[in-house]
Amino acid sequence: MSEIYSLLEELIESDDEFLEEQSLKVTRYIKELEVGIITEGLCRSYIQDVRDLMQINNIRGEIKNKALAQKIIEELTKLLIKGVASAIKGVL
Amino acid sequence: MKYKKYFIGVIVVLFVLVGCAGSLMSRYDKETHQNMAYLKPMIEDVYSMYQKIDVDVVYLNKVNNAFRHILAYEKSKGNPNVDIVRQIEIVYNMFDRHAKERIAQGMWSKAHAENKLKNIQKAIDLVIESELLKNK
Repeated sequence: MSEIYSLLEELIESDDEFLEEQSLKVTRYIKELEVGIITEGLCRSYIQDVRDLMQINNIRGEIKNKALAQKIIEELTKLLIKGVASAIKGVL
Repeated sequence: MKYKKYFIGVIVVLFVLVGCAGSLMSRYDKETHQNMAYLKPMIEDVYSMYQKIDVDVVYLNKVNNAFRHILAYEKSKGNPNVDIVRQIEIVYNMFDRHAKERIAQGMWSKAHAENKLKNIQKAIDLVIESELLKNK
């Protein structure tokens, strides 16, 4: 989970508007789950959307930060397999 | 005279190679752009419908069929178009997953429907942008 946080921070600071927006969304969803604003199901669904959007974007030929985006796609997939709530509990 | 013959041969080979490379590259297709743009208002109607108690299954099937037709058309273009096919498959899976979630969770709130619509519209925009990039 800490790997995801550091990757998200890296993407937020990148000069790519799309990746920055998607990373901010994931950070917001995790925070909202932590404080109980959204359910685990909703958080999972939103993170899947972000993962899909990043995959579509990464298929495009020449894009900035492709390797970094690929890394976060893999980490988000691992998170979805493990279960968002249990992954967060492991960090807290 | 002998060299002139070789020179003409080299020119012919070069023309053939350039022709082959051209046929391997995927070119901008206005129909792909139009098809993806055509999906957007249909999906907007579906996500608006998800905020109501009843789901119009006939309309949902119509959108599913539109996706299948678009995918069949893109796949018919062959290997050079594999990236667009993969992108549309992800959009279609996203749409299908949202439909399954709606069935499992029941009626969507306005805020949730808007979030989901925003995400799938962005996915379609990314496909259109990728198609437009072939113009450059």
